Amino acid sequence: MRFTRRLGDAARRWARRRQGLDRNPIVLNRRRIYILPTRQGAAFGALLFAMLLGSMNYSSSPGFLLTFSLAALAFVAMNHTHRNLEKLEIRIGHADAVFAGNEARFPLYIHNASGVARNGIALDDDERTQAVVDIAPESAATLHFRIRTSRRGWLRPQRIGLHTTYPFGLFRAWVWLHPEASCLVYPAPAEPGLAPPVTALESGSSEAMFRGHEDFTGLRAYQPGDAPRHVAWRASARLDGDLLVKEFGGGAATTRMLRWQDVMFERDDEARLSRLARWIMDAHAADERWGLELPGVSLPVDGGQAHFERCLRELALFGLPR
Amino acid sequence: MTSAAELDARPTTRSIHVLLFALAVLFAGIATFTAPWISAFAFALLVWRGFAARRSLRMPGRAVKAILALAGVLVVLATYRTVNGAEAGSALLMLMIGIKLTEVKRVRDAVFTLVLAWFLVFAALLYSQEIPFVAWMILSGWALVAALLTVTRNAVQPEFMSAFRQSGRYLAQALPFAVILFLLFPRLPGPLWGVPSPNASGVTGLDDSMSPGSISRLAQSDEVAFRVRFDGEPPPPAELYWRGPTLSSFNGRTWLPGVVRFRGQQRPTDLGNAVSYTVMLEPHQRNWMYALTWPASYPEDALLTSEFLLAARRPITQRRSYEVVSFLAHTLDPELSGDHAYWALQMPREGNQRARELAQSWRQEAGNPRDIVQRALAMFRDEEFFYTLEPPLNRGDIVDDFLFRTRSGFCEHYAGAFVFLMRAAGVPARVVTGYLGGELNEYSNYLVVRQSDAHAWAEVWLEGEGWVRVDPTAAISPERILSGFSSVLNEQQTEAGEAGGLFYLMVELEMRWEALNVVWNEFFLGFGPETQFNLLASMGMDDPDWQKMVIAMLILMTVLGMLLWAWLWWTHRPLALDPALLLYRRLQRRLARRLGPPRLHEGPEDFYRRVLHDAPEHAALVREFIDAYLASRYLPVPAEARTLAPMKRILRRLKA
Repeated sequence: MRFTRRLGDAARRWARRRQGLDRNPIVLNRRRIYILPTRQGAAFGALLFAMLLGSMNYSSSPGFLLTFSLAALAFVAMNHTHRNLEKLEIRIGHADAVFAGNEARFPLYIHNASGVARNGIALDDDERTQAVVDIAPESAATLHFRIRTSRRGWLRPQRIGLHTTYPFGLFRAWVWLHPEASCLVYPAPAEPGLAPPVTALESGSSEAMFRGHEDFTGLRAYQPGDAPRHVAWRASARLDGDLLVKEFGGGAATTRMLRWQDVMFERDDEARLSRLARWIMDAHAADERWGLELPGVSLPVDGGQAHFERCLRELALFGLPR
Repeated sequence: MTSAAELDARPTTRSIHVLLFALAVLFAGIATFTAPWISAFAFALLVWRGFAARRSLRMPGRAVKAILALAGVLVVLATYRTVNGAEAGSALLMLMIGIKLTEVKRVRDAVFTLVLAWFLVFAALLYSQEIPFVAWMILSGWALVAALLTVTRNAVQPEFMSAFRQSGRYLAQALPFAVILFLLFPRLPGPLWGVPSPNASGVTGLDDSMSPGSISRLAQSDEVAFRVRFDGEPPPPAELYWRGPTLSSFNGRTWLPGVVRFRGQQRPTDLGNAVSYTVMLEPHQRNWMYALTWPASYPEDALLTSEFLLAARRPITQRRSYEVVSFLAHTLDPELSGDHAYWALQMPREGNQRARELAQSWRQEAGNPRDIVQRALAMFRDEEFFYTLEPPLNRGDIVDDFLFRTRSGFCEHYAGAFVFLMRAAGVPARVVTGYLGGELNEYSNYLVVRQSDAHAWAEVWLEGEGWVRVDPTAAISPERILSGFSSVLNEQQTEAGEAGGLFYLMVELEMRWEALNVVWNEFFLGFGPETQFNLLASMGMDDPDWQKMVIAMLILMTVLGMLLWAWLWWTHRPLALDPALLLYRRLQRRLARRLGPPRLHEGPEDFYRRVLHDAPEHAALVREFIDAYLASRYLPVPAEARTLAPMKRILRRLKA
């Protein structure tokens, strides 16, 4: 078992060196599709061998016919399995930024430009199959390659596998993709509870104060990053699956400056970044306005989605090569 | 490995049902020869599994499975007294597949079940090779392939017919490869290991001993013993004495072969009336190969015995066909010498006293052996002798008992008694067994000889003529034939004429079916080293040996493989894009400097909105372009009415 694993690792490293980094669009050609019999294929081969010996011993013509038909079927199936991946056109997108601990989802757009269906195309990481999809002739499917994140910073999927055993599960053809795609991972937000110190209260106009009241203006579809408490659960329940979020008009009620020196009480830099991430999240969720000061970085007070992302990006890449 | 995850998945209810359907088709075929209770057992397991899948019942525990397996083995043992051999083996395998189904929880178990099922198909094909059965097994195999496709795909809603169609397509692609392998894979002449001897139960036919009087009922078997195709006109039916073993030794109850030697190759000059024919012999586990006397030309691996029997070096365990040239005009052994003379007159020292006395009286009255023969035949003809397949048993001195008390019997009784009388009268004589006649099929000029055509006759040795065939059974007058004896001598006239059209139709259908069977036997079932050699030689391969076959096989497989490769390349190629789409992409590229690279997710209308926002000076042209593009792509206009000209014009203007 350990031996096969090491063999597999060596094969993966060899393929990486051989194929290099892949640029979109990746067209699967013969050179990069590998194929081997599956365990069932091996059992099937053993069956064929036993039947061949039996046919020879009993000089059984029907036995020979059965054996050779099944052998020919396996051969034809091998060709189909190999072709099932060929000429698929794949584009791998960047994953939306996530907080550490969440899943990064890299969109995989698989286009089948041929006139035959490509059935049973499976998406793998190194341990398991994540998804299986059938792609009709001249159409496309989008899968998501998921990686559970643990650290902030840039995340690149080392390797994405696609395989198929269609039609009979006797052979397994696969490709290894080494995409350029990346995902920005924000620091995991700290536990909520501790409120940020109110450092500077910008004097907002009375209008701004007025707008600060959370005026419900409507519903829209959920987007990653929306605060859970804005989700309109009851309305969402009526549509199955899709989450709806309440939208509020009005500007920020409060304005804060979130500063590195205010989080020095945390034990290390990572914890500090997590604390800042939490505060930014809370502020954004409450539709407040805030600014961020880190060593070497200063973002003026602002609000909104773009500012929110910008701040988290600074936290994610703090102290890391850009 | 990742594929393991899919195999660990639970099979969907629908895919279980497809699996069960395929197995039911297979089991229905197997049930034609297994005991009904075994089939019922297996089908019960299938039905239970179908219910369990629908109701999501729990699978039985280990103890129940063990009991089921044990019960299966015991039932097979009780029925067949063995678990070996094609028949008992198939039955056991069928039950084991049924029991295996009770523990099919994952896709991998279902695949394993299918592997077992194919092995069952294989075992069943060893048991029966009749055309309808093989056809049913082909159908079953197809269903199993469809089941494998469904199970490994494991979709929630597999489309049943589409799985059949799809697997049919794969099988059709596999067929040419299978045919090449079948024809060119070198065949071995003999078995690799032992072939089980046939069980002695109830197989009728020819044996190498004969005990007339000890059988009260001759079971007639319609099984085919062999088929013959004549090159040219077949000889008259009364000449068709297919020679089997000669029985020279009589111990008072049983006739046995005497000493058998092999003849040399020398051949007398007075042979005439040559008949050339091919015999397709069913396996009978004995060495002898039937032929008309005197076989002068025969396969190299056969030998001719001193009693003119063709013998193979090994028992005939598989169908084989061989060509023979026989000379019907011949003189067998003009000199009778040595132990042949001894065996031709051998008798027990005592017993059957009345028969001996009768023979003695003939000898004194008649002048020469020829007259003695005629006296004996006249006795069978004129006195009250009956032919029956259900004769009374003979007791004590069996010859006396038959000749003077029961006076009814079949060929063995008559041949045995006749030879005894001849020997008692001092005329060298012996019993010859074999087959008489056969049924001529007018559609393909061949003869079917069945086990029921088995016959025994006599030969007497006459000075100057050698061994002369005498058939005492034929001497019985026709009105005293009580049953059977469907020999050529009687059958020819009786049936025809009496019945009407339907009868003829049935006869004709049967004849045609038999003709098909001959082709099946000769060219498919009998396809062995010899037929392979002949076929390849006739196709222009000179002196085919296994190296040449393997090379030809590899070459043809490669050629076919390349054809498959090219065909798959063609079907899997990316289809050419719509020319309108190509123009649209060109537009996107042209505006890329202003708008950035084309966005995959963006439809034409969104693209236009972006143009309106980011490059408003082109908006009007792009609008016009997109209208033309959408019209070309999506309006239900006949292809010839579509025009790309406006789009091309706009592209030119954008460039300028």
